[in-house]
Amino acid sequence: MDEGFVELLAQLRSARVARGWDLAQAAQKLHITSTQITALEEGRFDELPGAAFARGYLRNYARLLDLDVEPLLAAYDRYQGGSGLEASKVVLPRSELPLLDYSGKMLFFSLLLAVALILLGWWLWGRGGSTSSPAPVATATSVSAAQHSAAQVVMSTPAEPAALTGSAFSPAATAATTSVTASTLSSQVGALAFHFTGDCWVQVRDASGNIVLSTLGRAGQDVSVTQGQPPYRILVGKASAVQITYAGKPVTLPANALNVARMQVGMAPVTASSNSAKLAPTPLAAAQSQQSSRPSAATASSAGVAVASDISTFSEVAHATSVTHSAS
Amino acid sequence: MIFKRFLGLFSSDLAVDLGTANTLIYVRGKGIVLSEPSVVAIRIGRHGADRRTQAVGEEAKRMLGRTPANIIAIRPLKDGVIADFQITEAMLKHFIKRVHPQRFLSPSPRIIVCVPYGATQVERRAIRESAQSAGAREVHLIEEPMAAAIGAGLPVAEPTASMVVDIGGGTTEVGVIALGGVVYSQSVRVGGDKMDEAIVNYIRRNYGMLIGESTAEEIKKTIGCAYPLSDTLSMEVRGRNLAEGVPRTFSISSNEILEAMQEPLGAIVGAIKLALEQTPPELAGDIAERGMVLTGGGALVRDLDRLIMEETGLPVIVAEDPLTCVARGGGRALEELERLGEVFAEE
Repeated sequence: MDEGFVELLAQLRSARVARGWDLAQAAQKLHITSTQITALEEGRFDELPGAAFARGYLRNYARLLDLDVEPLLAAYDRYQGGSGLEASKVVLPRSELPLLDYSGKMLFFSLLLAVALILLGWWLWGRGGSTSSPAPVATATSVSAAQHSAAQVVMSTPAEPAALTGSAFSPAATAATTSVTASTLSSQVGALAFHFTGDCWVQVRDASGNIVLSTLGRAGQDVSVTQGQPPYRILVGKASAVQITYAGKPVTLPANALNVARMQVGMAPVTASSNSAKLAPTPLAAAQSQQSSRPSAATASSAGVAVASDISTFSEVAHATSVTHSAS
Repeated sequence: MIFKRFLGLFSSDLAVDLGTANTLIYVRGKGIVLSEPSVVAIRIGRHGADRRTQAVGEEAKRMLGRTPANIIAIRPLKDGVIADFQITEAMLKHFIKRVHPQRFLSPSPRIIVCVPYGATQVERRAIRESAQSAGAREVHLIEEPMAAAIGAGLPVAEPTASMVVDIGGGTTEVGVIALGGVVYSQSVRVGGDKMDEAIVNYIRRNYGMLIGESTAEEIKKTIGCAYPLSDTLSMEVRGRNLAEGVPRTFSISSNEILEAMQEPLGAIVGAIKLALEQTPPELAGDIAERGMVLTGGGALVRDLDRLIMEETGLPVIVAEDPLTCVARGGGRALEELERLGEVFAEE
């Protein structure tokens, strides 16, 4: 602080004393506190609220005492480096950190966790897919001990009781015929054809769950499926607009309330062909033994036909005819 | 983003205090480069067609009330907001051209415009669009109390309250500011213009003399005061005598002007008192300790600070160079345009 400024500030005090005002009186006239008056007179400006206020108080005080304001303010500006004249330096309070700190480490670990979860999900899904495939094979074995596969249609809901009854009343009858039918049918395995009479979407999955056909058929179009392993699981969008044939025989569609129909067509092929030769006589013998009890065989055959007409499967028809043959 | 920064290197950004009485323009890095009255004089062609700008700013202000039939001098802003959209645009264009000469390939400037806190959405949009059509690349709005406080050098970022009273031509804005934001603000449409009107009315009523608004402003600047002075001032005024219909000269004293301005001064003090009533107690404590700062042209009225000091019992200081406070505050905001997104007002 230069001497001129100190002198000017001392003038403030002497002018106040000359008027006979004590600190409190001067403070009351300026509406500030007496400590602020002392700070002004002694040049301790850091005790005042800020440069802009200190300058204003100084001006008000000099004016109150009828002193010349300009030299005082000029000296003040020299002393403070003009800080009471400038606009505010800091306009916004500095903010420290974001509210939630997503630092690199946390991001890395969450990424790692996400990758692990994805891998786990993939592995579980893969396992689930492989276990689901043996199911149709199981149904097939329940019907025929002689494994030579032919096509067999098993309709999901309505066919099951029929199939069950069929297997219940004469397991032997059906078993007996397989050896006969197997050779004739094996050539036609997989010939699944669709004839569209209207627009209808169709999806076909083979035994391993792969989609072998997924299309929107237009009216008059013919689509056939040759690849993939039976049994096929078919999903039809509009049952009234499609005719399905499997191995040359039409497949009747279940009359669902909605147009969507699901069904399974065909039987899983089994490779153990050497067993069939050995096994074949036994069912035949069983069938022959049924000859003695004709009425039961007749009922069996009629039941077989009934099953065939219900579900209209080529194989069952073959079974039934062969049973009747053997019965006669 | 990068492209914007690149453009920023070549364009000069402007802060505009578009006031009712005066328009000030601050150019980044240069300071205040323009301070002109917000007046436009328009020459109207034959049959009312083909309007052309005759003069803008100081020159146009001298024409106010002195124009022939084919020239009209207009103040396009009223009460702090745009009253005539087209003329405001023309005026802004003229001022911007003067401070930001258009060169081939030079990008248009970014502009910060100060708006009254009490401006409605429609008024804010009008100001924004006016600036946009005047050739701004980007327009940001900043509320006047905030700009005034920044320009007055108040510690706006601190967690203590700063009270600022910006008495402009059309509006008086009372703002309480803390932590870089406006905590409370009150805007009354009373300012220098209302004081001029009050003087015109007073002289007509008491002297039977008619004076123009420019003369009233002159009287206000010369002898106007807001608190009884120890030695009375007086000045000679010329006007038209209403009874005789001839121009006459008469003398008027500062005490009479004080009496004339009682109503607008009372409205300003009322707005300040209302703001003090509405301020949260912690901040009111800060204001009691530090006081308030007067900015704007109205702060130049003699002893207005003393009137407010006596009426409120709080310390009142007048900011340095109060006329330019808002523009300087806008300019300060301009310098930190990238960082200060939060300071700007929403539309």
